[in-house]
Amino acid sequence: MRYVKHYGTWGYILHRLSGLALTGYILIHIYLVSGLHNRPAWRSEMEIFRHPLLIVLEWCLFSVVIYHALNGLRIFMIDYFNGARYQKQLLTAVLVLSVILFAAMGAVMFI
Amino acid sequence: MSFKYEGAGTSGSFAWFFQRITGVVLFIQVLAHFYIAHNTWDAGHDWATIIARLSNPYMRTFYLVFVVLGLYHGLNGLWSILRDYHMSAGKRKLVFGLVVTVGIFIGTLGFITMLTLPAVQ
Repeated sequence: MRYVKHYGTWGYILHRLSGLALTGYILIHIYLVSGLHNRPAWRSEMEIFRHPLLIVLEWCLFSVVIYHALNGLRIFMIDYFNGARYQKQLLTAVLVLSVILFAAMGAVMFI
Repeated sequence: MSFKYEGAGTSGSFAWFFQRITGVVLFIQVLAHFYIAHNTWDAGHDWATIIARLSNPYMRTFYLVFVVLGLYHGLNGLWSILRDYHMSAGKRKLVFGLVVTVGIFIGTLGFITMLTLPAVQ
């Protein structure tokens, strides 16, 4: 698909990509949680999630959720609160806030 | 899904509206979920901790709603992206059927998990 890339379009593209990633994630997540029925198998499976790489990936997942949630709020404001007038400023706010929260979560997780 | 002569009710405007509503609810739910289930490593991965938490019926209700809204919002979003690509009527039906089937399958799996856990029975 080809998009005309204005500033706001990047918000739109990122919203789609993060949404796709999260939809894939929720399917896998619900499937994995169904493993709670088998306690020994659950234990060995969850040991995998102590791996540093997966913890970093969880951190990235958080940032994807935060971006999608904040930009979702921006979309809500565009649709219902005349946000189209200041959608560019809102996108900047979403991006800045996402980076701040990503860094803050990194500090909570790793420091 | 043809949009001809079907009126606004089938034009996707309900899905558009409901995507906003579920989005707002999910905004709150996903943050609550992080706080409840991923505050510590044990909260999200230790079997006994998880089972103890889920033996609370309110918690189970929260997750049943979360599963339904999360899957609906995610798969409806996926479908709205897929609709942007040209598909023949037959392929369109096939893809839509596939998306709905995945939703029902994983949704049912989530419900079975929540309703038949050892401590819950």
